[in-house]
Amino acid sequence: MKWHEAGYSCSQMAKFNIIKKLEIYLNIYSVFLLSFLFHLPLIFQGLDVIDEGYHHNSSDGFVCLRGGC
Amino acid sequence: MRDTIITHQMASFASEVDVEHVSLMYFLSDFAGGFWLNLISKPCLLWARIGGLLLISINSSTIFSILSIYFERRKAFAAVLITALFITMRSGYIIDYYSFPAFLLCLQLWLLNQIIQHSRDQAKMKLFSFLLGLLTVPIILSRISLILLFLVPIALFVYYNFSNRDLSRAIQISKIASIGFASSAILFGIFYWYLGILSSIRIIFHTIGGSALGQTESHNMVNLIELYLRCYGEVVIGSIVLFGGFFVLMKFINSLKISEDYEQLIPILITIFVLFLIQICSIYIPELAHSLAYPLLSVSIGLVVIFVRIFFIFNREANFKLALLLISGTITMLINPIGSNTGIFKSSYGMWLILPLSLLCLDKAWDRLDCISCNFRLSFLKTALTVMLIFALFFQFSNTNPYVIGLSPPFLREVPSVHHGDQVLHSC
Repeated sequence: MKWHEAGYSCSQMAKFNIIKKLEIYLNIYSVFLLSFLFHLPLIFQGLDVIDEGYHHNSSDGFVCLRGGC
Repeated sequence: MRDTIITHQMASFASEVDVEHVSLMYFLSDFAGGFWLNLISKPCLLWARIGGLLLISINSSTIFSILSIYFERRKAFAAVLITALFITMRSGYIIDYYSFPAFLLCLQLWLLNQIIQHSRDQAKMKLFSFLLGLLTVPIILSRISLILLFLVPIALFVYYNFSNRDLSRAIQISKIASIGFASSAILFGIFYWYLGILSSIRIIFHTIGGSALGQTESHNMVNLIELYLRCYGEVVIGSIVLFGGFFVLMKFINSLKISEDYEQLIPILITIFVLFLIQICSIYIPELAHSLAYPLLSVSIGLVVIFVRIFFIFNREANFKLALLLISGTITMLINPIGSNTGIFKSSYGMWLILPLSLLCLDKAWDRLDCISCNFRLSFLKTALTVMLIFALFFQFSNTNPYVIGLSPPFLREVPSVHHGDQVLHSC
């Protein structure tokens, strides 16, 4: 039975075909890439502010700030 | 404390580890973070966040590889990507003692799924069981409270027993995993001895003992239990209200006589309207958006439990493999915040599997809800994922986690030991 006999319109069939073609790209690599790209803009938030309290002092070695040890 | 994480990480990766300046409660996470920071010549926050981002991406791919076995690829793909955005909406995006164990836990759930999938192939099953045991030690060392992970095999044994299954295979898997666990314990014992911190391991027991006896202020065990109980009380109320509201909304949409194309728009418009109200109120209460994100993450715990319960009620002959994953995922989520003095929203780090899995499972059970005369016209998965995506985007871009926005100048004034000329970690 052909698609027009099954009651599908031309636009519906085109949509199905596109989805079917795209489905081969739904793999772990595309999930990795998209997850990375979606989060990428977020990691630039607040980088213009002075960041971490990490500092190193040659005589004391690493110093834990704000009593956080 | 979050503001000393990178300090700890650098100290953990120093040539001579000084136990005064590192925390043995999550040393392995700090060591992994320190290793990442030291890959470039000068540590910087952007590099630290790229590391965290890589973990998020690996977790997403790992979970997708599990879910695509049981569900339609399209649905699994959308569910994994959107839930990844949702559960990281209050993340610091760095390798820390929550994100690193979460990464290891995702690997462990993947191994568990491989064991379930290859239950007939003895060689593969033995290999994956061994690796499962091998991975348990680094998970515990990356955060000691994750020792509660042993609740997973106990719960699986109970489920095996309740469903009248043959326990011999489960016992065989446990035996092989125990060998892996013992091997890993020896390997990490040698590693800790090489770093010179093996003899200091008793500090962990002192810390846990001090917490149990109430000798520490911030992580007093009694206070923590009280805090968790209070939070779970709020979660129960919040999740009943949200889930009830969702049902009422679906019923309301059912009663409307509008085109199916426009029906999908109603939940979207309502969500945008709620967020618009939050944004307006934020003008007068600046911390409102920030303070609402945490309860939203906490309430997800209750919603996940409701979804899982509904799935089991309406799929009495549920896929046994899916049931094992649901139980493991739920326990992983519930044990994740234990030890945190910030409440239970840290469960989000344990939601990598269970959140998309429970959504996809409920989607499967959705049509069966017709038997209680629901007859919903809207797709559960589409609606839930759309609403979650809108919330995730809103809260991701309003993330005022102090670690994300960087330290503010008042904080630096509080630090007495910052001298001119010290090496301060800057943005790249």
